[in-house]
Amino acid sequence: MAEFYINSLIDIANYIEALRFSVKLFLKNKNYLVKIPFHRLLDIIDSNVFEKSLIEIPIIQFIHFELINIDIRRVSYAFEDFLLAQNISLPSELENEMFINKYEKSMLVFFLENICIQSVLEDYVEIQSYEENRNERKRICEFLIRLNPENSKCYINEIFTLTQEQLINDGMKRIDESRINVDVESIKLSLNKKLLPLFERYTSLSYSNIVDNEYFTLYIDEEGIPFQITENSKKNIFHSMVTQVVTMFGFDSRYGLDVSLSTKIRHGFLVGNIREIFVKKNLVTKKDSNDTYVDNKYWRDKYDTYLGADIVKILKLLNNFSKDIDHHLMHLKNNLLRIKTDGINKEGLFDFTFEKQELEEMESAIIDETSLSVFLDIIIEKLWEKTEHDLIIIREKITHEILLEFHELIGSLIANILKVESEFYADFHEIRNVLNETKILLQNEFLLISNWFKKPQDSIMPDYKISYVCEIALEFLKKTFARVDYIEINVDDIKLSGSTFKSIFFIVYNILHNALKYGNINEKSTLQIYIKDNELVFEVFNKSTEDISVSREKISTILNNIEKGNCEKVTKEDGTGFYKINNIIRNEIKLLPKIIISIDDEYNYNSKISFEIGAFLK
Amino acid sequence: MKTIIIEDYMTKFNEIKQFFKSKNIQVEGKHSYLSGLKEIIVNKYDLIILDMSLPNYDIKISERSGKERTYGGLDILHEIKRRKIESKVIIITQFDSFGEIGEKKSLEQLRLEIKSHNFENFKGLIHYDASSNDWEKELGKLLKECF
Repeated sequence: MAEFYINSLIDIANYIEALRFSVKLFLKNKNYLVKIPFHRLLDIIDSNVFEKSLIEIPIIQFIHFELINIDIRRVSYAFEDFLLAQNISLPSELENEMFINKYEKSMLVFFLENICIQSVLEDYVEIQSYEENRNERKRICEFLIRLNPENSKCYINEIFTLTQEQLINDGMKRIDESRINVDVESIKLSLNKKLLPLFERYTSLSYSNIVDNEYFTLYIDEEGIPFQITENSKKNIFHSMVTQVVTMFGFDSRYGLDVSLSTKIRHGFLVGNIREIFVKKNLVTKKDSNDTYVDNKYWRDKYDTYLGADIVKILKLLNNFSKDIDHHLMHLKNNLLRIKTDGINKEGLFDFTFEKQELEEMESAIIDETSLSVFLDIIIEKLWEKTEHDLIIIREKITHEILLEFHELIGSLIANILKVESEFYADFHEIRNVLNETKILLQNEFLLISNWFKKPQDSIMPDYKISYVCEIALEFLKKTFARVDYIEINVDDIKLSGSTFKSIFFIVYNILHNALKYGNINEKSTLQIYIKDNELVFEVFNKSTEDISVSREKISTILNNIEKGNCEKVTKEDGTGFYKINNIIRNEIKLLPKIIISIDDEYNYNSKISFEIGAFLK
Repeated sequence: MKTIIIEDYMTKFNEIKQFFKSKNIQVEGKHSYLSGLKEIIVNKYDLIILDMSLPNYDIKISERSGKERTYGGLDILHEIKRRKIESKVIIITQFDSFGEIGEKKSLEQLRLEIKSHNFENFKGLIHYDASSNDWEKELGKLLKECF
């Protein structure tokens, strides 16, 4: 009957009524969908009979799309034409008495609920970023709460989800911008005691009766301790003090720059993020126990009909490619992202060597009245100046020179694949396509990574819930691990002081990274975070795959090193994250951690990290 | 000749830009579907060089770039037709097949599909290969035909 009525309206050219009736019919009962003569209505819409300001047009296009699920463009076009006809650029601008009175509430609600959604906004040229898209959808939901309060719970939920997404994004940004860090206050506190006798001696001497020394270089031995300067000249004392400040600023295993490079960049993040791009595209494999890269199963299976020398050659090329990629990543991690001083890390991009002139300039700033504290400020300011200069160079190098090296590796592999194709009349264009896609993904990832290399800004983080940190950590880990879903996190409702945000993030990240890297990939890992006896406890349960005696030996070594305060492992990235966690709790939060790790005969692994949290609990 | 390149892969963008520079043609650049589309709506261009696959939004630090548009170039062609933009369009792509398994299209299939839409302004689809200068020859030839 309804179908007959709509067709009759079309037959007598009462198109608007036909359109309006169809939409109303659908809004009344979705089952009437099949009664709507879409083709006739869409033909009329296409012939531009209607005013574009009719809200029924985008709705009918949407209903049709829902029915046949092809060409969402028609909905996007109708949506844009509708806004244009109202002389507004954003759908949230419909929150205006004029529009609210003009359109039937049910239609306006349907339009806002179903058509002004993020996927349609993604096609809309007036919205130029994902952030704008999300904010606009939030405004639309807020409008819907007022327009259609009976469904407000649903809109509030959507706003909550969008806000959560935005908060996680902001948190990730905050973490990314805080990766470079030096605890200057702690360094100054430590040096104020350590350097006082030398500084007093320095200020007591006069240059007039001292034979000037030759050009001075800063030397640091293998253990990171500066060589003793034996000549008792004022200049040498100055140089010795500078060396000690440089050593502490750069290499102190609690507060120095290298610790933040290690825990927040080199460990897991850098290699993980870049390598994962190749892993996701099935372009690299891992080494087996014989230190040989395993064959690329994905492409071997894909070309399983190719049985000849061509696929053998391709697999060999891919193996070599894995080796080259890992070699470049290791070079970046082990050689480039290091601090260079005279004598160590010759390729390090953080250059803490001093020219004679720089030392003289710093010394000339020191007058008789200069205190040790001011002296330290002068040297530390110079070190920050050098660091900031290096950070600019590093950002530039990452997005150009280093990226180019990776692009060249890909280019060379493509060229070699082409040679195989031509030699064997074979077709491996799918691998070449994937390699070309990877170039763009790398370009974008390197741009993001370059943003890690910035001097931290002094921004105040509000108090936060620990569950928030867990969500941010999981979001980061998704870039490196495909099986993040295997992690189950149970967190009590714990709110902490904003000052602990970055430290707690890196603790949670390291715990989860450990669980994902070393846990049994077929079993769930659980992280529980709770407060017990005024202690914040992070407890992990998972299954180990390693031989129990080997695991126990490793656990014993880790616990011994931590107990003895062996901090050397903090700046090494290949091992477990426990040293880093221990370092963060001791030196960033400045509390004493308790770390218990155990494994039973059933391969059940349990680690428990705790520390008193009272002062930071909100 | 007012020209714009809409391309997200910077190496390719710079090479195409260099090609035009060698012919004393200044070019503008945009690096995503929406930023490119907005630019060609607001400003008039004689020639638009399009990549086929584009991110939806410009890449921003710590923000999503939205969906990846496998056929972003084709989407822009549809918009050009709908908005009656008069610029001539050349697509330069480094891929020789598109889409997911099962829906994969070869370059030739894509050429035919574009042809089937009767885009008046579409002048050609060129395969870009960084290791060869064939694409430059082809682009030079198309430019001669167009202008």
